[in-house]
Amino acid sequence: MKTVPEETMTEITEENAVARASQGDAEAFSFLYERNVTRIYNYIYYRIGSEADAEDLTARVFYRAFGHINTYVEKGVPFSAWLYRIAHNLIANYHRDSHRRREVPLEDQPEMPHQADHPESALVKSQEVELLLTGIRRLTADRQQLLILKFVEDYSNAEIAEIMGKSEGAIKSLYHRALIALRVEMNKIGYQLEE
Amino acid sequence: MEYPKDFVEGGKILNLEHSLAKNLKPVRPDPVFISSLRQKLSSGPATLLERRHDYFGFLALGLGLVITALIVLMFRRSR
Repeated sequence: MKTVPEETMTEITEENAVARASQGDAEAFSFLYERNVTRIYNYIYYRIGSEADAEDLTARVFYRAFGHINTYVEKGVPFSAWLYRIAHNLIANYHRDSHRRREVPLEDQPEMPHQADHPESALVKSQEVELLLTGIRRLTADRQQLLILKFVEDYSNAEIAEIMGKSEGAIKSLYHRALIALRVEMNKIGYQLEE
Repeated sequence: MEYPKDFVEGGKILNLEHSLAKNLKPVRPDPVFISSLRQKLSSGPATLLERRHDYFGFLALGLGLVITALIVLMFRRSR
């Protein structure tokens, strides 16, 4: 990675970071990485539920993005939208891999070593959480993406629309359908919502 | 789009949203992984090994069978 001479250095912002990174500016790469790595990791982790695979896919997202940053076309949407799209595609490939597609029943999952370091230990380890995650992972990819962006990343409908390349109205509609589908899946796996 | 009547009437949609909001929290990736990946990304060209797809395995297996068959055939002919 090249460095930019000091005299050409200006403050890195969300707007100029991609352009600078595509010219090989290491500081701009670092800026983009720091701003996005945790959210991309979270998205992948919630989609697939494995810390090791989430780390692997997160690394692939950034290698792919930084390796092809010259092909990035500025369309007025956040850079993170591009990263989410790469992550989305890699997750689809991951699920196509027959070796990884086999689901392990929750009760059969081994206790993870070093729990303090394991992300899932940051969650409340309750049956409700596990059932919710199971239900969410049974939804279609776009519904999963929407729920994760909304509830984990706390994005607004407008921001989600930008990331997913849809209108805000389409996101609202997709959100309603996602909730209905999630409720159906939750009922199937024995989770009854309180009235 | 409207929710099914019983879904709304039972307050289930609100409960489901509440449950999602309560339980889906950001997780913190392993700091060692974050710094290690940062280091790898900044230390030159990406050299990430891609996992092989299954068809490579089948191809290798098929090739192995063909070669074995050829060897057996040649061995028999030479006798």
